[in-house]
Amino acid sequence: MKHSFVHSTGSYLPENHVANEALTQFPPGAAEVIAQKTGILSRRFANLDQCTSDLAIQAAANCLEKGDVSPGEIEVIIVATSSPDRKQPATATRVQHFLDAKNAFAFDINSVCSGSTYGIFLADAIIKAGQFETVLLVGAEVYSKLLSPKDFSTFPFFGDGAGAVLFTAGSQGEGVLHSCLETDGSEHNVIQVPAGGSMMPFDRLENRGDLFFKMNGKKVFSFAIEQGTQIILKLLEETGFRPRDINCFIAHQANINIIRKIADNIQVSFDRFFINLHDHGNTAGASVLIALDEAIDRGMIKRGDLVLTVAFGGGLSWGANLIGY
Amino acid sequence: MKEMILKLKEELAEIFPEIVTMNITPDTLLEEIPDWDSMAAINLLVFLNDHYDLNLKQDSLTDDTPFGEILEQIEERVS
Repeated sequence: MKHSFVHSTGSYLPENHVANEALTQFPPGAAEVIAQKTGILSRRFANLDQCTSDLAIQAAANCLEKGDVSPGEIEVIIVATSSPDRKQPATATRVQHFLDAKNAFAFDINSVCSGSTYGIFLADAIIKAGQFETVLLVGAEVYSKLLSPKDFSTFPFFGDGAGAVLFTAGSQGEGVLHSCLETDGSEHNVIQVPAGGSMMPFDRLENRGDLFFKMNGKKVFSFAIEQGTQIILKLLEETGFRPRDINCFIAHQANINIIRKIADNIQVSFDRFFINLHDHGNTAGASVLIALDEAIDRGMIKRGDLVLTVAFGGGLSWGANLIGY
Repeated sequence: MKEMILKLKEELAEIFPEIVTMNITPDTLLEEIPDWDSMAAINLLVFLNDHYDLNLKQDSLTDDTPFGEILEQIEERVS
């Protein structure tokens, strides 16, 4: 059976840093509350004229350059996003065009903040199926354009960015070893952008607030800790590894306190978890891929390491992947 | 006062969805709102500023601030 190797990674963060103190629509003490509750000190916002595919293209180009791979070699492009350029077509199609990846077919997936882990599973499944050998996965989000600027329960916590992984097929060694994915659709209302789809078309909009991203923060916090812990332990049980065998944990970067609690629950030192949310905020479906790239670039992940990615989010959905890097 | 409470409760449901199930009186404390915490306090400050042009200080909304106090300030502002 073919294995999906992480050939190279890339990322792109917009240059516009927005510190907590710059969010002047909130009262003066808000900056400290944001930092204390989430660990976020700053986030990146895309420019007005940047859309999700613009970030995806930059991350993808960075990934291909680092891997010394030409766009023409890519066979499949998957973009994991819950903040697409448009309702249709797939954001991945514009990425394919501007990357000049003429030989690739391209499509989107949406599993909100779990998008990276679902995408890793899917890229791996495509390679394991045997027909394709070069799959580019990009997680890209521009939540700054989905949020209500005056909603303190959402606006301060998200940032924009994109991460990319190029998977190539090989027959020996490691790569993506296993994935566990779960969904609880009974909680489909907990995280959502209500309007703009067939459930609530724009011309039936009654409350302008329904245009924007909403979430039940308290419910999400406890869900993330519980299911984030559960899926890691499930993955490790199914693969015969122990938490201490993992060299680096790449968790979805939503809230530092969630990650600390998960580390406690699985009895692993917090310093094995790569953290960048203090500067990037929660980049939703892009966060795991951005963090993976940065952890590799900074030497926290080296060739031969065992890496565990874990994410949780809208759906509600959650997932984890075990990767031999 | 009763009408004001009902109106405020309806408006606050947008940021505190579970408030619709509560019996709010002037003596009800903010900490009795489900999921009340420092973030909820900031959301309430933003709401009061947006809806009633009330520029309250963060420390004026504590766990034991009664709804009656907020209603009085709204009434003063509106009149």
